[in-house]
Amino acid sequence: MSASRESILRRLRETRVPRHHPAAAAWSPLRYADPLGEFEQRLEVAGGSCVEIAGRDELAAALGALAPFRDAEKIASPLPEILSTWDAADPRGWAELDFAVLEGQLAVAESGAVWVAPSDSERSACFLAEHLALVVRRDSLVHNLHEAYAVLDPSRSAFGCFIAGPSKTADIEQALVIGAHGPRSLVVVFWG
Amino acid sequence: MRVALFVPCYVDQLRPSVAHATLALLERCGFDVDFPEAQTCCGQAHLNSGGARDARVLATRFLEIFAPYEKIVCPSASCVATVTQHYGDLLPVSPELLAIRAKTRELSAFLATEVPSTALRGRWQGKIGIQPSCHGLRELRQGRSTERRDGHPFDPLRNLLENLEGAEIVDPVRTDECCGFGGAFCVEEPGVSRLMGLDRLRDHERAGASVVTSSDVSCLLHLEGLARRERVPLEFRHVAELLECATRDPS
Amino acid sequence: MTHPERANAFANNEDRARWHDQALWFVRDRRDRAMQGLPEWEGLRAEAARIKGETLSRLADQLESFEDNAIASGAKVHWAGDAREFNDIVLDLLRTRRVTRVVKSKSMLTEECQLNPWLEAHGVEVVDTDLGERIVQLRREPPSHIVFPAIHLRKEEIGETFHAHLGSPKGLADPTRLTEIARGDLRSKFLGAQAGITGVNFAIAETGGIVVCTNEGNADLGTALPPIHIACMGIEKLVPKTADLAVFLRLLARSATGQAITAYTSHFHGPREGGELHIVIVDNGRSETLANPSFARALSCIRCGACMNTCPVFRRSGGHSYEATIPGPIGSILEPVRDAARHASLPFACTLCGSCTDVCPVAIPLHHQLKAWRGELTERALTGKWKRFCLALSRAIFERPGLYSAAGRLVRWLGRRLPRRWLYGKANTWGIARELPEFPSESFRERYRRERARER
Ligand code: SF4
Repeated sequence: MSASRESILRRLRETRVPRHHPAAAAWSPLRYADPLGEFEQRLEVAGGSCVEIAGRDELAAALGALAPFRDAEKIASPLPEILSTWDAADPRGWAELDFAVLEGQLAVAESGAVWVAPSDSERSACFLAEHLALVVRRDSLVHNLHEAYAVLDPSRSAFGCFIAGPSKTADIEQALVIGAHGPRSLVVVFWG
Repeated sequence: MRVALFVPCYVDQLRPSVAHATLALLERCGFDVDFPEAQTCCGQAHLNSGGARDARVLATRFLEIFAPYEKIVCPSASCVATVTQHYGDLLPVSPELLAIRAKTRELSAFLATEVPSTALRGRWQGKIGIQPSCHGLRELRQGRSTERRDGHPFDPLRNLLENLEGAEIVDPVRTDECCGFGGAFCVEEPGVSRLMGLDRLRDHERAGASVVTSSDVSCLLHLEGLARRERVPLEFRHVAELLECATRDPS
Repeated sequence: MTHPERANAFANNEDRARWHDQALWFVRDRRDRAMQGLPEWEGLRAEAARIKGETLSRLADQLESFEDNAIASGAKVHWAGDAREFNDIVLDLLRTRRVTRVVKSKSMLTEECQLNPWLEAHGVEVVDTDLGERIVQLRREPPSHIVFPAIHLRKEEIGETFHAHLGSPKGLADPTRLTEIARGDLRSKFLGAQAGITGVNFAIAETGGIVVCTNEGNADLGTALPPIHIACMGIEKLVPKTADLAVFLRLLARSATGQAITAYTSHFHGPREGGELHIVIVDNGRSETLANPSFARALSCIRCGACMNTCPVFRRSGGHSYEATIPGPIGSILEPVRDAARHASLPFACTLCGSCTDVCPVAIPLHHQLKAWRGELTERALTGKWKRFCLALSRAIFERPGLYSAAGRLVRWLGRRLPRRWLYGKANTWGIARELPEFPSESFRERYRRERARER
């Protein structure tokens, strides 16, 4: 082990850091009367949109109603309901991708976020695609992040991500621009 | 109740009218007020400028001089904050220190809690802008800080003004932004201090205020100095001056 | 140069200073609205402060369990005592893998250690991929804010920069089109990169995982495409448990930009298949900060930037006026720990208004620490001699009520008698921008004494 490791840890062990005890009033995380409505509103503010369907069999039709999907030439998805028109052997091969559809495991109302844990190749598709759709079960919706982490175990996959809208930036004079590097649009499809 | 009047050094020398108004108000409310003449300065300026050693000497003096009194009332929120919130950084905890901390109150907080509001009825014609003292707000927790999510904060200054007939409080857009005085800051960082002050003046002017009030005198001296230089037609009255005038018996 | 010199220059360009003030106030306003949306805000802040406090008090154990778990997940962990060692570790990792093209997402740590110039000097092209950072990188300027690196620039200036470096049409100043041009340019950099460097927002002790938050998705592209991921973190980035992330993520984006959460919150546990994940843990003065009881809590900072947005001085003096990697209130505490003499003016660039303390999501008592710094700088004789003399002199006067009254009388007498020309001479820094107050002929105590004597 490196000398720096030992000396950093030694220095830290020699240090007595005064414990700080803030007087915390009891609190409990916010829950919503209408979590789905909250999710939709959050996602909309963040530049995304929501679609609800009753069953997976409606998925293709629901996406077909969206212009970016209709116009897409190169579509990729591990979902059996979607007809992929593009595949890549290398992560960089997804650079031309028009539309990716991925499965989300869980949605969080307070943040308008969906948890995805894509495989390695799905992962680059997820960020290189011009447009992204995430498909998530309606009953996986939780109220807040505390509830989300109570259910999730991020350490089970090499990569997992809360996605809460299309890629965006406000680095030029605070003007919000959608589509900084990654997808220019995000649609979340709730089913069930 | 035997009340000691704590008059900050700069109020004593530069704006004595605030101290006179404080005295008059307290006496009008029936308090037996004494001004301990040995007092000079609480050490705030020293402490805030890095002179903790010097401040410690003055804090020790303060403790001796004000020990005999039941209550200590002061028309400057920042000086009160120094005594109640920061003497503990300078002096070892002692029964004397704890007693002084518990006894020292800022004028508007004292009036709002110790005097029935009926005793402070009065009239004021005109629109009042409040320039909250940052130390009153964020050290003494008097007033609503926009940064925090507290339910119903204790806001004695506002309550006292709302009690005046005819008075209309007009809030600027940024209700609790610092005026830019900051003690030595105002002379060490003149460019930023000036701009901060001018922005407050503009904000109060746009809100339609004709007079700006505060529980700290230093903020008002700085704003008044700027307004006079820039010919901004705003008046500046410390809350003691304003209340004393508004509650004066017309007869 | 000291802070006042640079700040005066910025503030004296009133239009620009007001524009900068307004831009950041706008962010503060959005943050307030996001805060209002969470009734438990103050409880959440206290919880965050508690977790960070606990973590810092047993940081060595936490770091060790983080390391064990990270290694178990397949990551390689490296330790750097200082900036030099950190730069060497990264360069060595790249060299042994023959990497010459690197993309980097935001990391204030790499800024602090000056990693870019080091890599460039050794033949590695580093491209900052956060749009704001890319802008200042092209301009060869340091970032002026930790969340909005290019907040000091107007869109016209950015347009000129892009015209010069990226061949955008002259005069183009539309943010959407400028962003589009940057997107196109950076896309090719992402695709061509051999390694991706990221910062770390949170490191989880119980799993060995790291979390990176961005809005642009640049950290994700930078780690999904090239096979090598180098994550750089200070020792203070730890949280004990995965569940703790909920507390910090709820606070972070709301405080930083007013969003409920950033567009991407990415969790990494080990490398992807066939790839490498290297985590470099850096001290570079942090353990010394921790050893100083006055400032230890400053290490709880989660770099949201809210204290900068709310600071009335920062908004009117600009981030560059601090000449520090981390500007604003938190920077004015952290930077002097590294080099007190160089940054001695920073703790004084503050009115002690306390807004930063109230806004801080981890409840660091920022303005009290700034005040503590002033005391420490005075003790170490790093403040001006004249200032220290004035403090001692005035204290000596205040100890003697008779002398104090006489001095007051003299000052007021002079104030009333001296011709304006003298009164507003060079020494009167108050008078640069303001009129002096009217000097009363009698102090309060003089009149009080006179009236009481008459009563008796
Ligand atoms: S000190 Fe607090 S407010 Fe400032 S950047 Fe750090 S976490 Fe945010």
